[in-house]
Amino acid sequence: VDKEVADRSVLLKNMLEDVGESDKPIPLPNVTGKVLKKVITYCEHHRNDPLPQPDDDLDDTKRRSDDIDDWDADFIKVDNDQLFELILAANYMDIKPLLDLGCKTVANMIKGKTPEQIREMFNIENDFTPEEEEQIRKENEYVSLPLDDSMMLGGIACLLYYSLCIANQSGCQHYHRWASES
Amino acid sequence: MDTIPAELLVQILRRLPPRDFYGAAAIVCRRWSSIVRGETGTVPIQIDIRAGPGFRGHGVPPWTELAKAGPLMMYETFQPVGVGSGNSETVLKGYAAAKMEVVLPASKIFLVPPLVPDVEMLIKTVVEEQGESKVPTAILFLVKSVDLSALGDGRGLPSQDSIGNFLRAANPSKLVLNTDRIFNNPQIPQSYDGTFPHIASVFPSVQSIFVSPRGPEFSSEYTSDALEALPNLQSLKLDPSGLRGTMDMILAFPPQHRHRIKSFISYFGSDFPPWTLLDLFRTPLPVLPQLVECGEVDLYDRRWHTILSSRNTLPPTQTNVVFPYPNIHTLRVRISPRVSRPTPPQRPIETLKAFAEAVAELFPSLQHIHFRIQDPSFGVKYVSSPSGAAPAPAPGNVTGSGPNESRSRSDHSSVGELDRWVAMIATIPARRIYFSMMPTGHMRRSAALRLRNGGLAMFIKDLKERCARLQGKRIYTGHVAWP
Repeated sequence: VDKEVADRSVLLKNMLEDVGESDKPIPLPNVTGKVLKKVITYCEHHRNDPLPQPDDDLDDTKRRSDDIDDWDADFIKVDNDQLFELILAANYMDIKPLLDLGCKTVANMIKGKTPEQIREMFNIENDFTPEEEEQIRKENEYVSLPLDDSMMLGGIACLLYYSLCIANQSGCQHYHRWASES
Repeated sequence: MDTIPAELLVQILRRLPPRDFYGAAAIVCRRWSSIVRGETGTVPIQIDIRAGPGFRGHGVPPWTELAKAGPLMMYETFQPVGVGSGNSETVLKGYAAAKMEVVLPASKIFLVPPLVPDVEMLIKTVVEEQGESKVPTAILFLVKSVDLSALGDGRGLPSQDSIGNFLRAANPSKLVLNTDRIFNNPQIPQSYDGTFPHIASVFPSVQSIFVSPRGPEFSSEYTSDALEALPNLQSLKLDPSGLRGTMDMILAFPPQHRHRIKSFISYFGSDFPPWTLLDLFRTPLPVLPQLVECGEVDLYDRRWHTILSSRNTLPPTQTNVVFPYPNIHTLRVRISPRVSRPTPPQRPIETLKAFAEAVAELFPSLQHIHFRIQDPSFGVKYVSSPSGAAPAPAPGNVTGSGPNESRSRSDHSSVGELDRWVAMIATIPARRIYFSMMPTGHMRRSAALRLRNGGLAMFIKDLKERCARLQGKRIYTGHVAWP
């Protein structure tokens, strides 16, 4: 594997720096061959991306889950077991973008599902007693209403309105007026 | 899924919108539920739709996101809550704080006009939707606090009715009202009814207000009117920069109103001379008997000495008995810059001791104490002692001792000072001790940096280490939003 590709993984990068230029193989005990292959595919595709900056707590963009590009979306279309293995490998090998991608994908799978669907999808055992489950449902009643169409329409209306604002530059007038006042 | 460790599961779940996060995810199984409830200790979150470009360093223009996702849906800005990190207390707090704050309109924050939502529009959308569904929608239920303080900032006003409708729909328990904006703003037409009886008719559930007295018309009457009009009002936050005779103001409240007040906080910027609530505790009878939260008092106030000494030196009479405030669990203390201290104590060492003793006596049930460091020199010269392993002195031995005693009298930089702090913390009943730098958002970064680096960080780190040996005491640092 090219050094450029391996450098995508912070773990490998550090290991390579430790080992230096020698040809010694680097042990990766926690990653299976199949998953490693997948990881390498990912790293090769993204070899020219800028390396991610050290984590900034205030950066919230990474918490979004709807900005997956087509190649990545296609790449991550794997069965659940492999997906989790990928996430674990990305975590172990410290490849942040891949970890993000994995987490986003899982989050997207969960979004909008009922608890039953989630359990079924990930094969999770329901270890609540019916009473406990009822209790939690009650506590969270108000946040589990489904998103209906009128909300989306409202959103579109807002967007249209803002573009209108930009179009007739009323926003700028606002801004200038406000700026000159202050 | 079982193979995924908790910290990765947290990463996945916090990408969920609140609907899914608090809804389905909480019911899947115990493990997931505990993450949602924050018991695993790593997901303190807060939904904050105020954050905008140029503010707190967010890259996402929230209002456009908001518009995309539907009215008031802004779930991309999960962010940690102020104090501490990774402990269950903070996390529970974060869960409780996972409610929305709506600032109407926040024009001071949003510098790029097209990103500023038209408040009228926003409110209209919300109200219309509310009208159709007849049920409180999730997101409106999440509205915890509405801040009207920027009303009339040159952008025109939403109509009174639409604000009323919006607030009825959101039913916030906390309303931030900047009285100055309401009462003294030429942009607000005279017909605009901002009086408290009207406010009360619009949102009767309000429990907390922020009264800003910057206008000359301000008087204690406003606060008094608010207490009169809002039956659930329990929490007063005052900005007393234009206020004189605050004690008289409090005493002027009718007893039934005074007895309702649970939280009384007045906050100072650095450019105002300190005014202290200490007088509140030197009255013949408890003035605010139900008080549970109180602030800010000044750490280096000379009156800490006299508050107990009058009792010790005189025979007990009606006027020098110190009444403890057994309900107070939170005290906010300011560490003021030395220049603005009204009566610079000659011996800051003894002040720390007097403070500890007075606090122990006055607030026997104190749980939380917040120190807000306003003094820019606090701790900056502190150098960690190489031995560093001196045992914590016994409670009461606050005067401290040690080789650095001589140079420690005038600053906060020595190991001797650390000893005195440890002793002070051992003496006061509070078990949670918080240090924060600034009250507001825009200074968060630099405040956080100072708490992480330099002498102050070292001072607090050593203090943490030493206090770890005191049973049950924990120290947190953070840049807390006020209050």
